[in-house]
Order: sequence, then C-alpha cells, then structure tokens
Amino acid sequence: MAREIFAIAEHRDGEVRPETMELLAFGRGLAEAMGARLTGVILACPAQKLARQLAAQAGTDVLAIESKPLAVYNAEAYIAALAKIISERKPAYVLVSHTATGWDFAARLAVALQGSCSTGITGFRKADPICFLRPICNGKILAEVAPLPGTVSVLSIMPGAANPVAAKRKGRVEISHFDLRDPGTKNLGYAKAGRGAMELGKAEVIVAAGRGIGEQDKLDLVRRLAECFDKGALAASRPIIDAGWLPLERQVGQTGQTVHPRLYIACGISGALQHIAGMSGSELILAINTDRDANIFNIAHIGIVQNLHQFLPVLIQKICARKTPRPSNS
Amino acid sequence: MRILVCVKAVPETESSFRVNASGDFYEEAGLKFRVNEYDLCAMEEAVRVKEKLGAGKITVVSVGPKRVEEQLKKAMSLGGGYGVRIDDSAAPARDALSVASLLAAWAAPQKFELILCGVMSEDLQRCQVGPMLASLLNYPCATTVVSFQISEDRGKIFCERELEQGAREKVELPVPALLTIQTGINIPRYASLSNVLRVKKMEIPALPAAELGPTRSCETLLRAYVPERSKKCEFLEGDAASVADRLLEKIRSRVKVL
Repeated sequence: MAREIFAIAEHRDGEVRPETMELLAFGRGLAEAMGARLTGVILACPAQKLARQLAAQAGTDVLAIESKPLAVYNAEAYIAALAKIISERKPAYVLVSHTATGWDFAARLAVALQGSCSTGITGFRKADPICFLRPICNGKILAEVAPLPGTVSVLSIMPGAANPVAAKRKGRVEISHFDLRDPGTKNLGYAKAGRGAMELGKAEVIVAAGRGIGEQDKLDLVRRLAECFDKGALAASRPIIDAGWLPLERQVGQTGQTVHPRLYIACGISGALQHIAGMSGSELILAINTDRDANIFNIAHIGIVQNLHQFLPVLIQKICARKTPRPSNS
Repeated sequence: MRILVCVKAVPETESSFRVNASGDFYEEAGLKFRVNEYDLCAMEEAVRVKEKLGAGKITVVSVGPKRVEEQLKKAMSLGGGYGVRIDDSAAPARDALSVASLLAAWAAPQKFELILCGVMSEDLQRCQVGPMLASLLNYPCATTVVSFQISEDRGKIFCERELEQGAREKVELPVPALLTIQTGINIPRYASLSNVLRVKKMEIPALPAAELGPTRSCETLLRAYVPERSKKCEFLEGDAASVADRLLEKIRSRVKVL
C-alpha cells in the first residue's frame, strides 16, 4: 500500500488558515514525488464544518479528530491526539506549517513519537533518501537534511514554500472521536494586538526600513521617501518594531502584515525569511542595501548597493523636483 | 525562583558565509559571534522576574566550544549569577534534539522552576531546542511569548503568545515551565559596569558533553552549499545621481506610481 503523508491543518475563529493551503500544496508535490497519498488532518471540536471546508478547498481527503480539549488550539491536546493517530496509521511524513503554532507543537510531537524532526523546510530533492532543504544564515547557505531511517518524520514547512492550486475534486471526510485528558496548559483565548488601522494593505507604494538604517533618526529619511508617493506608506521589518521605533501595525512579515503593493522599496532590509513571507507578492521590488550578499537581492527585481544615507536624499530630491510631497499618515 | 536561561552564540547575520571543508555546515573561521538576540531578550526577562520577586537565582547555560564563553558572559553581565558551559566542539552543527538532550541531562537534577530560551537561533531558525528541552524534562511549554506574569503563589504563569498578523494567544501554564521568548518583549538593558567586571573575573565551569550520557538525534545533516543567486535582480551600478535617474525611469516604465 502507498505510504501516507499527513498535513496538519491550522484553524482559528472557525476558518482554516491560509498557510494550511500552502502546506497542502507542498504535501501534494511531495506525495507525487514519492508515490504516496496525502491526507489533511484537522483537530477541532466541533470538527465537521471545518473538515468539509478543508476537503473542498484543498481537494484532499481529510481526517478530522474531534475531542473537547481540541475546541481551541492546545499544544498538549494536539500532541496527544496526533501521537495516537500517527501510531495507528503510521504515515511516513507529518507536515506542519512553520508558523507560531507549528513551532509550538512540531518539535514536541517529534520527541513524543521518537521520530525525526526537520523544521524550516522550503523544498525537497528527490534522492534516496528524499532530502529536505533548509535555508540557514538568512538564506545565504542552503542545508540538506534527511530524516533518520525507519522513523516517522515531522517536517515544518516554511509559509510560501508552495503555491496553492485550485481543487480538482472534493476530498472525502472521515471523523474520529478521541477521548483526551484535560491538558495542564490552558488556552485562555485570543486577542488582537495593536489598535491602529491596518493601513498598509491600501498603499500602492510601501517604503520599508530595516535594521540596516542604523539609527532611529535615519528613519526620517525613509519616511520622506514614502511621502514622495501619492499612496505611499512607511513600514518596517521586525527589528525596527522590536526597537520601538515604529508601532506594530507598521510591521511587514510573517508576524506582521502580508502586503502586495505595486512597488515595495526595502531600505536596509536583509531579507529574513519571515520578512519575505510578508512582501514577496509585491509587483515590483526594489532593494537598497550595502550588503551585496543580502538575501533580499534574491527576491528583488531591482537592486541598489549604496549607502542609504547618501542615496536616499538624492533619490528624494529627484522625485520631489517633479512634485510637492504630501504629508503621510504615519 | 530558580531560573535557567539557555543562550547560544551565533554569527553576525550580515557576515559573508562560506561552506566548511567537510561541506556540511558554514565555515566558522572569519566570523564574528554575538549572543543570539532572542536569548538576550530571554535573559532580560529573567532579570526582570528576579527584580520583581526580590529574590531568585539565575543560571545561564550554553552548549559549545571554549569560544562561546564570551557570549555566555555577555548574557550573564545583564544580571546572571551563575554560568555553565557544556563543553562540546561539535555543538554548532549538532541537530536540535542532541543539543536538547545535553541540556536536559544537565538540567534535570537541578529542578529549575522557570526555563527561558529564545524562540529560535538567528543562524539556523529551527525553533526546536526550547520545546524539545521542555519535552525531555516533561515541563509544560509556551513558545513565541511576548509577555508573561507569574501568579502571586508562583504556581502559574500567564503568557501571551505572538501568532501571525498581530494576533495573540493567551495561555496559562503550571510551574515549573519552559517559555521561548520572542524579540520585542523588551529592549535588553546595557550591562552595568559592576556586572561586567563581576562576570569578567568569573571562572565558568566547563562540563564535558560526553559525561552527560548518550544523546538522542532527530535528523542527519547531509550537506550545505551556497545557493545560486537569483538572476532576476537587476543591479544598478554607478554614482548616486545616475543610479537614481535610471531607477526612476525603470519604476515609471513598470508601475504607474509616480
């Protein structure tokens, strides 16, 4: 019988997460390469509606596990339920999204299963054994890793590693009811961080600052460039938000916002994978950085290796020579 | 409260990286190392917990060769009382479970009440060692923690975890527990001169990894290489004025935003 691949779905507030569709697309590619069967696994309570939604959207058969402690995400309940179903069905691979939720349970699930664990995977290479690709050092080096032979392998897949495709058929749904103990750790619910309106989604041009700008007062230069565009907005990568230089609602990336402007100007941004996950869909990407090896140049369309503090004033002056800047809402 | 902070020495991400002679990891020679940023935030949280409770003992541990002592001391200079290095020259390229096994074998008898790790290391970004250590010690665990409070009876921890798109998840854990700390939770303080001098003089005990018993493993590292650069990026070279002119021309021809 063909081996099975499990892809574990994520859901919140009654909706399957978009990262799950990418995960299933990756799983489909892997299943085709190794002649295996892909099954989407969803843990929920109630489970039926979500399981049907997943089976219809992804076009894969879905195994749903229903149990009271699975009503909201809970790592301990997830690990207990998954360990049980995995030991019964013995899939070759268990795919998890490399997201905050995936980080929370994937490694612990692997330990519980005495299995292999490879995280942050962006691709695979068909070989014997199949090996998996993990970018390290901010994408400057690519490592190839393989699971330990004879073990079930938990893999966490980077968001954006595969593009979802439209479902060709509706998958079948199978629901199992598990009796799970109440976990010691409790999920007390969800909250939304930051009150600011998510303005970035409406911007035509996003000018984003990264660690490479150096000092806080240099942010002004980046802001002035954003103000040169009619529908321009100032944004930033994580280090700028962490330093408190800009509020959270300005953050682009996996833990911030996903944006698709017509023009994205990355100023002093190295191109951490978490940042790229939030902006790689931009129509035209311009990167300005002094590090020619920076990963951002792997996804940029136009690259400029210049010192921002010298280059931006020249650029701003040339744009403004043709028009009067308008104050931005930042 | 007995607090453990796990720290890792990582190369500066802005460095230029090469592959090592055995072709399976990055070459260390020529790289500058610093404390993993996430771990520094974890260290700062440990110091804040101790300050708030008015008592406590902070131990800092790192697994690695002699050179990691510098980063271990750097983290300790924020306010750590004790430091231990698990001496292992193979550590940088080890898989996460074998690192977690070493940490667990050393930490288990010490009965820490709170263990803080960074969410991930900046060089490998696996997000595995912290949660695996929790599993091996049978501690509850919360990851990507952006704020937490300890209950008055010190029996529970309330955390907020950071999820995607600005969402937060609230979690309650019983003590002892392990948390992985997300950057942005604090801005780590500058070490005081007295702390820097105190730590500088300290002898850091080195525990040979081999004495910690057998380790488990979770993957095999096959090879590492410098990926081919994407060819889609067109670099504009020259002086600032001419680059700016050509850039504006390109922007105008491709997207109508000016």
